[in-house]
Amino acid sequence: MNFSQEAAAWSCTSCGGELGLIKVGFTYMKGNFEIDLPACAVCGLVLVPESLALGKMAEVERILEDK
Amino acid sequence: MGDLCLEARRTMVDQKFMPPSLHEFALQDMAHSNGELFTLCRHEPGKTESAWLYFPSCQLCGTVPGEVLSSYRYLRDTLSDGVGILLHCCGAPAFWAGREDLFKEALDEIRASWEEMGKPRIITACPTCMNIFQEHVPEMKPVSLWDIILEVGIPDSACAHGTKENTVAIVDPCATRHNPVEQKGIRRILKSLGIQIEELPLSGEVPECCGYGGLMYNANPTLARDVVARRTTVSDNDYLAYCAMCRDNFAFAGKRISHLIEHLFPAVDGADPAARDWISWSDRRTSRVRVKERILRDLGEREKAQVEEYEKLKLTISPDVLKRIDERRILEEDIRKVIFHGETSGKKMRSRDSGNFLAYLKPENVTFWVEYSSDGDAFTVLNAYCHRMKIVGIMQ
Repeated sequence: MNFSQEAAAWSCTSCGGELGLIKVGFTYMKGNFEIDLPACAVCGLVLVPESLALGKMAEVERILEDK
Repeated sequence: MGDLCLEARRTMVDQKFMPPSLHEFALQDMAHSNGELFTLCRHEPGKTESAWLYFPSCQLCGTVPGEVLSSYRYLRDTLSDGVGILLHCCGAPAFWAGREDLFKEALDEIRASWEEMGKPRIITACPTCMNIFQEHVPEMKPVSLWDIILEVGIPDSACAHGTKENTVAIVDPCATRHNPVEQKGIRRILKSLGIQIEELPLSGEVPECCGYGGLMYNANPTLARDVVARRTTVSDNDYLAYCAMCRDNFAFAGKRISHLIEHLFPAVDGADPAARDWISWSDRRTSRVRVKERILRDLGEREKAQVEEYEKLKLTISPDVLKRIDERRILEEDIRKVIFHGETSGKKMRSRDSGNFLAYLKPENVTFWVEYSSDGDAFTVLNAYCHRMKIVGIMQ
């Protein structure tokens, strides 16, 4: 499931709104990143899918830790 | 090689190069063992002095709480002049992680308790604790539970139940590499029980690690799992360990394995200890707390533990999900916090297909995500995952 499909699959219960692909900032070990992810523009809720957390994100964490 | 790795770790910690993710989970587990939920130091009920001080070890209390309590009763019944008890972690995780500050703190606390108790002889049931005390607090003159048993006699409760064809392959823990006396003692006890022994190729002076010693499991979980998976195939016989983490790691890999203490002080008569399943990190913590509560109860003391609101949630986690999240080093406590946060703050997402919820929370350094369903005030955990990268938020 890509991020657009993830965004369509979930809704924000806080405001009842839909999730859209929005630029989200991340930081780890002095590294800063921005990525378009499903998020609620009203409440600020962000969705990090499992595939991203355990895949690319974990990989970047390891690279930064090894630097 | 071990010394070289340790020195490198200490240097990395000193120079602040050590990645925080490598050892944090083990250090948090140690902090739990050295926190108020587990630590305890008391004389034997009805006595004001202790000639002996039982230090069963945090991980043994975590995996076989009932057997630990039975072994403490045995020591009180067989040794004179008082057998006190000290519940604490010996600090090994901090030692392995190169965290000399935390290791010193743990040892200082143990030493202070030992001195307060009148410097009794320490009895430990964990080979790692034994190593730590022998090397770093030799004045304690530690002796193992197994040596005491050889000296004063096999307990009446002992049995050879649950060993396939009455034979076990002994898993010598890496911590006993330089302790042939202890290794021989274990074999003498097993022979006394009428259990036949198979010697694995890598035992005695060259035992392999189960992945816990040196924190391999924390720093490189894939390698640790591979090591244990390979080791499970060396013999078809049941394995027998005398290290709590060896027992638990082989059980996690699906190997039939028991711990020696389960044969000496079986919690259930006629049970098959080698069939006992793996145990989660969360359940280990619960067991430790139970050991402390039972000892306090025997002493006539009651400790009113504060129950957090998130602990009151009714939670269901299937065995498959539990094993998956345990491998991801996610505790039930983390899950409870996330669901509680999602439910009380309303900050959660809902699946359009299934109606399941997804919530997240970063209690400390890790962000935990939990997918769950709810039925009134009961929650079923469907999945959980985590990452260390911090969410800054939506960028304007």
